[in-house]
Amino acid sequence: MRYTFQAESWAECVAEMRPLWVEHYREIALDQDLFTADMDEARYEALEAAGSLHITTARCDEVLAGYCICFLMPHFHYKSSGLVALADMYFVAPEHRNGCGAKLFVAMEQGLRERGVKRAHMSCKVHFDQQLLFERLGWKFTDKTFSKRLEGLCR
Amino acid sequence: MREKILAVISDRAQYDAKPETTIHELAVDSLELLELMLDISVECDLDYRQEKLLKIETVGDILAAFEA
Repeated sequence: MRYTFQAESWAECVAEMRPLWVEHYREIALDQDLFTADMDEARYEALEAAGSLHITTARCDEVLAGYCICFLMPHFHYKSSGLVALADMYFVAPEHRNGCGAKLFVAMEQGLRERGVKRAHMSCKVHFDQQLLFERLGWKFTDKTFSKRLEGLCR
Repeated sequence: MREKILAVISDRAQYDAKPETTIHELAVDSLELLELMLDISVECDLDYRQEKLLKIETVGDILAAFEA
């Protein structure tokens, strides 16, 4: 098995990402009774056309094993300070969880640097905690995020 | 030093690590791989560049990461 890690365009990897999205959603998505998997591919294409998408892939013997998608944009509060990257989503297929994820993030970081990104923001689900992994890769724990379901439950 | 690194890997992964042993055979996930690299750094007083991780597929690649 030979792994490679690289930046790819949406068009290069979207067909292979589709089946992984299903696994990804089943494994990690919150409130699955309320939010069904339904990727807005046209918006991703538009983001890429605008230069605002960065996709890093992991491939095992050329077959897609994982991906990390980031949005790139100048920060709304610091628009003259350059690009920041915001993680949209990342996933490594369970059969490839043998160091592949760490390498995927290292490759992503390299690619973002090459694109001139000044700061990157990653997140993880509380029920799928990756804090130690990110800290071992040199990321700082800087924010906490909260979500609240507003439909279908009592206030 | 190679013997010491191999000993750290074998102890951490509970596997008789040899240079040709693959990461898959060590059965470590991403966090365990990073912890293993940290253990080697601390116990052997060595450092490695993070981008070397991209080349690590075998124990031999780990040795090379600390030799470079």
